Amino acid sequence: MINLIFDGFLEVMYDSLNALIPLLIILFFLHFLFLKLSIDMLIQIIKGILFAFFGLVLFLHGVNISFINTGYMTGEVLGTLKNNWIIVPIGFVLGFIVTFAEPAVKILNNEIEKITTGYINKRIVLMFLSLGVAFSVALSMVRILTGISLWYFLVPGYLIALILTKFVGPLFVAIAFDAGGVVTGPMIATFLLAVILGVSKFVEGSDPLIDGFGMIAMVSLMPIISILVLGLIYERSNNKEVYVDEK
Amino acid sequence: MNIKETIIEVSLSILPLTMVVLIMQFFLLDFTFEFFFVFIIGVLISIIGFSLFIIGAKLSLLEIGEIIGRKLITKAKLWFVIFFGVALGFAVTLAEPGVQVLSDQVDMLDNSGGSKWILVITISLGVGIFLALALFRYIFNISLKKILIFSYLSIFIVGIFSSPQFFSIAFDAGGVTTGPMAVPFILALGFGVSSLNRITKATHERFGFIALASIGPILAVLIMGVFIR
Repeated sequence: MINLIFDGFLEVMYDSLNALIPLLIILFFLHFLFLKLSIDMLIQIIKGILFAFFGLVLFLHGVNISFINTGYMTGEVLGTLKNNWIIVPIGFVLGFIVTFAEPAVKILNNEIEKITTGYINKRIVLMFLSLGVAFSVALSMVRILTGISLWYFLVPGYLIALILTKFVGPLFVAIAFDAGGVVTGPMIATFLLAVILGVSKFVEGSDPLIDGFGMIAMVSLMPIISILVLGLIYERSNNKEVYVDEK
Repeated sequence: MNIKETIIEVSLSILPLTMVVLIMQFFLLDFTFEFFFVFIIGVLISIIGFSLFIIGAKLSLLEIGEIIGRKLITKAKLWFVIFFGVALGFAVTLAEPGVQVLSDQVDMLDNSGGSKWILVITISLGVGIFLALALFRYIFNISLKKILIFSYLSIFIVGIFSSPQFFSIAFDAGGVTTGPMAVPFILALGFGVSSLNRITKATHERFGFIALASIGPILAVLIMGVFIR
């Protein structure tokens, strides 16, 4: 049982440390070149980076031994069910709640609320992001069942997103496309991927590789659309594009 | 920064998923005590890690990004801004755990060996170049919408010529790279760049840096797919 808890932790640590070194080198370089931070600030930043980084490694390890195993196994069970259309609503629910547990989403939402000085409420942004992810996971399940090619989702999807940018102000456009990149963090790329791979293994005619990768592409598309829609609603309900840029 | 508050907030965000997964475990799988125990320990470890990450990011990545952005834009010459834009984007992507995980998966499928680092470097270069482009765009006041439309059209055009496997990997890479390490850093860099300026810049100018940084790896991997077939 103890083995199960510590399995693979040291390797993760070692790989991660290697990946962190270039960032630290560039920071030192910039520091001596022209940042010239105070010693206190420098110590705070190095301490913070180590906290953030090892926090992330711990988080990933925790997710690894808890959610991923279960995700894969439940996926397999769901894939073998007779009425397998049920995976569509289950995908919707999972997509919705997994977004809350995504670290980078939390950071983005806090910053959005801070920068717009409360004009955009972080709970509403989270709601719409979660809805976006929920729809993309549900649609990915539909893809697994029907085998429709990813192109038929991505091309119209991005077209809709690009057309919507015509009707939404620049603030929401910038936030929407930022959000598309942020949402697919470690939780979705590991836990949801495990569920999808599990399901797709047992549904006839579904290729785990193609369907698994496609899910992440969908998850980075739908939140763009959902935040643009939120922008439409926000700007319309405030009559016009009220958001006066700070002067 | 209140540690207790962070831990509570983080626990609340992980709780819904924990409940649903427990319910699924209970009804769909053979429920064993050992499995349950490891699961709960895992959840606790993730809560500690997540909280540590939020605290650390506030102390460091959100601070240093802003400082670098401010100094770059006020003190440095254009070529220097571009050069360090590429270097910073490159380094912060290397430090992103998701990129390593993705490249490992691709490496396993490909099993020719050695493709892992080619992919990691391609992805990181993509982020670096597009982060520099985002800075360039900001300095010369080019509209974000135009660059987005142009970039996504190029993605689909290059996508036609790239091999199908690379098409899915590319979009995956675009989503995964801007993860928890890169997001606070790039966000803050954007805020720093636009915080003080000769011309008054609008709030919306503070966003959009991540949007471009996640396009970079998609294009980079697709272009790689045109050459490696």
